[in-house]
Amino acid sequence: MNLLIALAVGVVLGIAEIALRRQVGASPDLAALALALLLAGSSSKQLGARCLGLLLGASTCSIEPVGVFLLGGGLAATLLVPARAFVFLESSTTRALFALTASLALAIGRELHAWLKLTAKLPWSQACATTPLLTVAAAPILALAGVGFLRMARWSVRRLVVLRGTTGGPPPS
Amino acid sequence: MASRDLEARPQRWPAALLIAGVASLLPQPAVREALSVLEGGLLTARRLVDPMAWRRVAQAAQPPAGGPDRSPDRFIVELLATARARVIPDSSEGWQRDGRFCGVTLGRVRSPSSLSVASAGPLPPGEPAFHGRELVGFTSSSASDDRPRIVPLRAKGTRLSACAGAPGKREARFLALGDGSELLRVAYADRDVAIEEGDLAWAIDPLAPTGGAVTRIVGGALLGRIVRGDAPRGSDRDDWRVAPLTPLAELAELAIRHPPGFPGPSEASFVPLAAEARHEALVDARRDGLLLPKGRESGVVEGCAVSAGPWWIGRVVRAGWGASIVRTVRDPGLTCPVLVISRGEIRAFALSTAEVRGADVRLEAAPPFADCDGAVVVTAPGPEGVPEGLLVGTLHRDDLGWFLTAGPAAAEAVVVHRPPGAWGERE
Repeated sequence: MNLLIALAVGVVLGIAEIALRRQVGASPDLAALALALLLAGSSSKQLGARCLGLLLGASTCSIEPVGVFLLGGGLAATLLVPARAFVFLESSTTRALFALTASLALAIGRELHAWLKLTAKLPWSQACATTPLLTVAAAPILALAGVGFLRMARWSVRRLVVLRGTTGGPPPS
Repeated sequence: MASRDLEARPQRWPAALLIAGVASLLPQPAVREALSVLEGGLLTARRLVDPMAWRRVAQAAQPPAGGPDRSPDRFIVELLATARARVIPDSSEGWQRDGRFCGVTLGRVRSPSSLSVASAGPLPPGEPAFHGRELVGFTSSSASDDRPRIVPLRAKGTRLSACAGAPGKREARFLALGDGSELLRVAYADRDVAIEEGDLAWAIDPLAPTGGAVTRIVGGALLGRIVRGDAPRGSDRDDWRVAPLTPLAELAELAIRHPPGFPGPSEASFVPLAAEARHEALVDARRDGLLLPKGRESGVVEGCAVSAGPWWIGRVVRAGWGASIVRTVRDPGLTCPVLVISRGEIRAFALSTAEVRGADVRLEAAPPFADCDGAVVVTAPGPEGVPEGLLVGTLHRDDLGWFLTAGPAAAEAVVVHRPPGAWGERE
């Protein structure tokens, strides 16, 4: 189930990235960003299935072969999962570094495929650096925004419960 | 506490994911096939999540009356016919005997030992293959070949009676032997008549059996020019070779005699399917692709050509059940076999795109022949779903290299050319 939900999330992230790129002209690598935030988040038995589903879902929105995502995701996970024991995961710097590593790992996966002629070799330009930089910048911001959003949602739900308990009816609108 | 236990336990899934990624680099057909199936399945899954796909299903447009336009441009058809007339030998040569010559398009494999044929139909065995007045080889007569092919004269083990010199004045007979190299060996040459460098070499027919009718099979067909071999000058005897007139890489078509009653090369009739393409449906900023709302359920498979009007737009590279991904001619690294029509001649070329510069596409490599500035480039036929004569663009040269002026960048109404199959009956 985790795999399927993560697959759907990966597709949605891919579609969101396409829409963002169309509207703004540039976008962070949302697959790398989500992978980094997953790996920097709380540990779970289902982490592997979530990461796999996310990568497979993101690959459906790309012309690149699915192997690029598997190899890049595998590289990122191999580097970042052991690193969890040595870093302070709640730090913004750690999240930014995780995002940079995930983004570079996906790029390395792509370049390895291009080197073996399994995908197109693309010329490097300065614009190529935009996506990893945006990904690095977006990781701590999104993580902080997510934590804030969760805190606010939790506070709102608690307020609703407390109000329902004291008045015995629905809270005033 | 449970979370701390989980952190302490070694995790094996990153290594498994990495191994899966490394395995995806393997070139083994089984791995490629498995990845293709996985990609197709994932593309199908995307269709369930993508809101645009659901909206398009609800607004499914009716196909245009009379079906999609399947015929290539008339101008291209005339250009091809004019150029093809040069490949067919003149009937006055007599090589067609009681049959007729048909133009057969060559495939990608062009080695001195074998030339593949793009059309899927059968070829008459043991028939000579001409390129105008030049003899290139013979159709394979081996029953073990599952696909028709042509064995060039250069293939190891071929032998042919030939003559060199000036026709009617100085004719030195010899045996032209193929040894797998680009040149033919000259063996058992007449000692009385001198062979000179640059002489023309032509084929001669074997003697007719006593009382039998004289048949002209390859007599008079050109083989090439005499050149010196690798033997050092001043050695006991001259080492002569025959250099064929046309490099194998430049051959696009050959003329092959079809005996009476033998069916002509079957022109694969593809089943066109109208579709509405979605641009900007893929995340790759530096790539160029299309998403089609048609997939395997409609008979769209990898390799199918996609066109808009007379223009070739691209090729299907991934086909799911109800969706497929197309790499367009503006995608860097796209390779496809094409025919270059220049000055009334057809030449085969493996077109490979490098990058988009403005409205043009820079090519990875220059065409391997001169005089093709302004040449028209059309698709070469392929059995996987590429009809002949779709307009790819026109070539022109710049300081930065060779460029292709391609068709429309953002065509929405496109046609997918599917190989014939059961779906052709239904639709």
